[in-house]
Amino acid sequence: MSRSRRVTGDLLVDAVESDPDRSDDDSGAPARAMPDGRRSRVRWSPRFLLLLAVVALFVLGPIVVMVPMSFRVGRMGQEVVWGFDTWTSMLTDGSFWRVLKDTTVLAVTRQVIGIVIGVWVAWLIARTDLPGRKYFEYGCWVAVFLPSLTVTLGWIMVLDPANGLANRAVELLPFVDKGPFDIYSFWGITWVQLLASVIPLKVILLAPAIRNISASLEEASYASGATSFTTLRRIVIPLLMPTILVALVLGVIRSMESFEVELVLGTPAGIDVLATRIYRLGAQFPPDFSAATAIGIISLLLLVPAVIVQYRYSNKRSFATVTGHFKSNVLPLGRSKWAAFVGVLVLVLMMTVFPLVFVVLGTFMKLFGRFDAKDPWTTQHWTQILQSRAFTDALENTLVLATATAFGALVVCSVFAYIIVRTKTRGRSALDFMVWLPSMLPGMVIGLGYLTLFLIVPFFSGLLYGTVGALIVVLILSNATLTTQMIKTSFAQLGNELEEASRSSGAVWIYTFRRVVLPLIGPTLAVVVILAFSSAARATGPVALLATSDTAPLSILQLNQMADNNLARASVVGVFLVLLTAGVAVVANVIGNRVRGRGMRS
Amino acid sequence: MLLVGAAVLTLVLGACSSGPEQPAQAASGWEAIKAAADKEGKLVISVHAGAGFEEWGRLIQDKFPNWNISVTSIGPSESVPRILSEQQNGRYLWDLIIGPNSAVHNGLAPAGALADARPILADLPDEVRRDEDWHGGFEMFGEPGQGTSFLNQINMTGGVYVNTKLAPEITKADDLLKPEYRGKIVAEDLRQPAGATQIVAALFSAYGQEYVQKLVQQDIKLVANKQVALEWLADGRAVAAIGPTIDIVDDYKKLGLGDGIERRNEIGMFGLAQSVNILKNPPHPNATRVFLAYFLSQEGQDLWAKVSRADASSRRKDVPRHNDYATDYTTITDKTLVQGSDREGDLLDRTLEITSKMR
Repeated sequence: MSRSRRVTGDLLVDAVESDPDRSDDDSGAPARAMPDGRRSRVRWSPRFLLLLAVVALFVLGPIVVMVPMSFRVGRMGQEVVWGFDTWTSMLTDGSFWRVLKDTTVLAVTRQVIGIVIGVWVAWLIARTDLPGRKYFEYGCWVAVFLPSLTVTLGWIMVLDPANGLANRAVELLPFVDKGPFDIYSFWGITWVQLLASVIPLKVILLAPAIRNISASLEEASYASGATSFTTLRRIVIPLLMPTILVALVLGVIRSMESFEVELVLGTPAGIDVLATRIYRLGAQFPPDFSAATAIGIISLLLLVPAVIVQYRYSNKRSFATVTGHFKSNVLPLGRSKWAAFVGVLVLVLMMTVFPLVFVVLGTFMKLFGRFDAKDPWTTQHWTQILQSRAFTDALENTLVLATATAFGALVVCSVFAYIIVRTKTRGRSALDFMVWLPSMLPGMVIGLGYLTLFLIVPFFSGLLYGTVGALIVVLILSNATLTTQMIKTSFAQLGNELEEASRSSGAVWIYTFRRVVLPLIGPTLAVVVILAFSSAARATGPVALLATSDTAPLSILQLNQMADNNLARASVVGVFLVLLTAGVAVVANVIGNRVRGRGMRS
Repeated sequence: MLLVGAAVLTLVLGACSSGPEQPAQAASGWEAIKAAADKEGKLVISVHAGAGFEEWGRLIQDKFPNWNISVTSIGPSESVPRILSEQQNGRYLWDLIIGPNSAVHNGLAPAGALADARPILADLPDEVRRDEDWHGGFEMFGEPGQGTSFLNQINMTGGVYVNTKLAPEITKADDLLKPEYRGKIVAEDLRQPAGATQIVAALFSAYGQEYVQKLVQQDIKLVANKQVALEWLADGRAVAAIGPTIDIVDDYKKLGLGDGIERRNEIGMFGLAQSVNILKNPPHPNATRVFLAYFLSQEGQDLWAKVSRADASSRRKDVPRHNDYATDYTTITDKTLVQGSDREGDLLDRTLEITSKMR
C-alpha cells in the first residue's frame, strides 16, 4: 500500500485508499459511521434472511447430512452403529499423515509456481502490446476445457522414463545413457497440473481483473521512473491482491479435489493424495463413505482458514480501480516484446496445441496413443459414437443442462456477489462464507449429500428428485464458488462514484445496472458463463449420482467409454465437449467485449 | 451463527422425512401379469457402466416399444449408495440391477436391498425355467440362502500375463516369488478391489495367505489401470503383469504390439459372477416379470451375450459363444472359485487387508 503510493503519487489515492465504510465486521455489527461519530446498527432484512435460509438449505444441507456419515461404523446399508472408529483408524494410520503431507506439498508447490507465471502471462495478455495476446487468451480457455486424462496420456508419451520421446531425444546425445525425465514423479505431476489447469485458470481469472485496472496508475509509475517489473510488483499486484487471493484459494481447492493426474502418475511413484484416497474409497465395493467423508471433512477444515484469510484481506480496504478516472491503454513492452512473445507462445503451445493434437489424433487411432501399431488409423470411433442414439440424447441433455446452469449461475451468483460487495446488509459475510462451501468438499461426498438431501426433504423428493431440475440445481451450486468470487472481484473493482453519478442524474437502479454496471463487468460475466457452461458440461461426480438414462449428459457417456478402457471413443466425446465450450466461449467473448466497448464509449 | 443455522437445519431436515411408499402388487396368472405389465408400461433398470451395457439398454427399449424403459448405465460406486439411500428413505424406484455381481454381493445383498427372486421367477413361463436349458440348472444364486442375485453368466477371467521373451520360465504361481523377479512385476492398483485384486484373491484361495504376503514383498509396481500395466509388460519394464484382461491384450496383439505376451491360465484364474437382481419392492412388479421372461429366454440371453461386454456369455446352453473370450461352461466345477457369490466368502476382504498396505 504505502510503497504503491510512493511510486504513483496522488493518482493512487482514490483507488487504493482504506475505506471506513467497508471496515464493518463479519458479524454484521456496526457498519456505518454517523455524523456525530456514533455507529448505526444495520438491521436484518427479512428478504435477505429468506435468501440466506434458502442458500443455507442448499449449501449447508448436504454437509449437515454428510457429517454424521463419518461417525457411522460398518458398511452402508447395514444397521446403523455410531462411533469414532473411522476417525480413530484414520488419524492413527501413519500413511494418512504421509498422504496429507504429499497433498499439501503438491498443492502449495503448484499454486506458488502457477500464480507467479499466471500473473505474468495475464498481465502481458491484458495490458501490453504483446503480439497475438487475444489468441493466447483463447489458448488458455482451450487448455482449461481439455480432458485432463488425455492431456496426461499425451505427456506420458513425451516424458515416460522408458519410452518418452523427450528421453529418447536426449539419449541421442553423446555421453547420455539414460534420459533425465520421469513423468511418474512429484515434478511430473506438478508439470502436468501446471499446464493442464493451474496456469490457464489463473490467466483466465486474472486477465479481466487486470483490464479493470486503470492504465493511468501504471503510467504514473513509469513517469516516476519505475521499470515494467517494478510496476507489476508495486502497482498491479497490490491492486490485484483480492483476485490473486481468490485465484489462490480456488486453486488450492481444485488441487485438493484433483485426482485423475495424481492417480495415473502418482500410483507408480507411491504418491497418494487425499483425493485419490477418496476416489479409491468410493470405487470399492461397497463404497466406504464413512472414511471418504472423514477425509472430506479434514480437507474442508484445511481450506477454511485460507478462505477466512482471503475474506479478511479483501474486506480490509477498497480495491476499486474502475472509477471516473479510468483509462484503458495498451502499454508498450519495448525491446522485451518479442522475448515475451516467444515465452508465452511456447507456454500456450504446450498447454493447448500439443494436447489438442494428441486428443484429436487419438480419436482416429485404433489403440489410443500407439503410433507404432500395425495400420494404426481408423474412423470407427467417430462413426460408432455419431451413430449411437446415446450420443444424440446425451448431446441434447448436455446443451440443456449446461446452458441452464451457465445462465442460472450467472443470475444467482450475480445477486450473491452484489449483496456481498455492494450492500451493507447484515449477515452478508455469512452468505460470502457459505458460497465457498460447495466446492470445499470432494465431489463424491457432496454428491451423496445432495442425493440424501433431495430424498429426505419431501418437496425435493416429490418434485425435484430424478429430474433434470435436480441436476441443474446441483450444478449451479457446484459452480457457485468460482462464479460468485469472480463476479465479486469485478464488483469490488468498480468505484461507487459511477453508480452514484448515474443515480444523481435521475437513473433508476435497473437503468444504472444496465447502462453503467453491466457494461463494465461484461467481460467477467462472459467468462463466468463460459466457465459455468464448461464445468457443467464436463461434471461427473454429483451428476452420476443423480442422472438417469433420460437425463444423462455427454460426461456420463464419456465415463462409460472410459469404463471400457476405450480412451479413443472417450476422446471423441471429449472433442465434442471442447467444441461445444469453445463455441460458447467465442460467442460469450464477443458479446462481453461488445458490451464492455459500449460501456467504455458511454 | 452458522452453527446455529446448521443445528436448525438439522432439525428441519429431520422433521421433513417422508413416509415409506406402499409396494406395488403383482397380478396372479401369466396372462394377468402381462396385462398388468402393459398397464404399468414402465421399467427402471440399473446396469454397470460401459458402452455395451448402454447399447443393450437401447435395444431393450426397441424390444418393448410401448413401454418406457429406463436403463441407467453407472458404476457400482454410484448405483449402490444411490439405491441404498433411496430405500433408507422409503423410496423404491428401481426394478432391476444387472451386471457384475461383486458390488451387489458386497453392497446391496447384505443391506437387504434385494428381493427374494425365487417366488418371482416361479411366476415365469416354464419354457424359461427348464433346468436342462441352463448350465448348472436354472436356479443359481449369488446368495442361495436369500434367493437373491440370479447368476445368468459366469466369466472365467483373471490369470497373470507374462512377457515370454524376458521370462519364459514363469509358468506357475511360485515362480513369481523368485528373487530375480523382485521389482519386475507390475499390477493394476492392488489397494482397491478391482480386477487385479480379485486375481490376487484367487491366488489367496489357491495358495493361502502366506503366498500373498510373500507376493506383495516382491516390490510389485502399482499402476493406475490395466492398460498401463500391459504397456509396462510389453516394453519390458515388467516381466509379469497382474490385471490386464484378455480382451485388451487381444486388441493389443491384433495391432502387432505385445509380441511374446502370454496368459498363464494356471496362475490366478477365477470365475466372476454376473447377475440379474430384483430390487426390494420393485415399483413395476408385473413389468419386471414380463421383462425377466424375455431376458432369460434364448433370445434375451443371446442379445445380452452379443452386446453387453466383450467377454459376455450366458449360462443358457442354447446361446452360442459370440466371442473368443466367452466362458466354456463345461470347465466350471463345484470347486471353481466364483467371486461375487457365496463361494467367495470374505476372501476379497482378507486379500485387501494385505494389499491395501502396499505403497
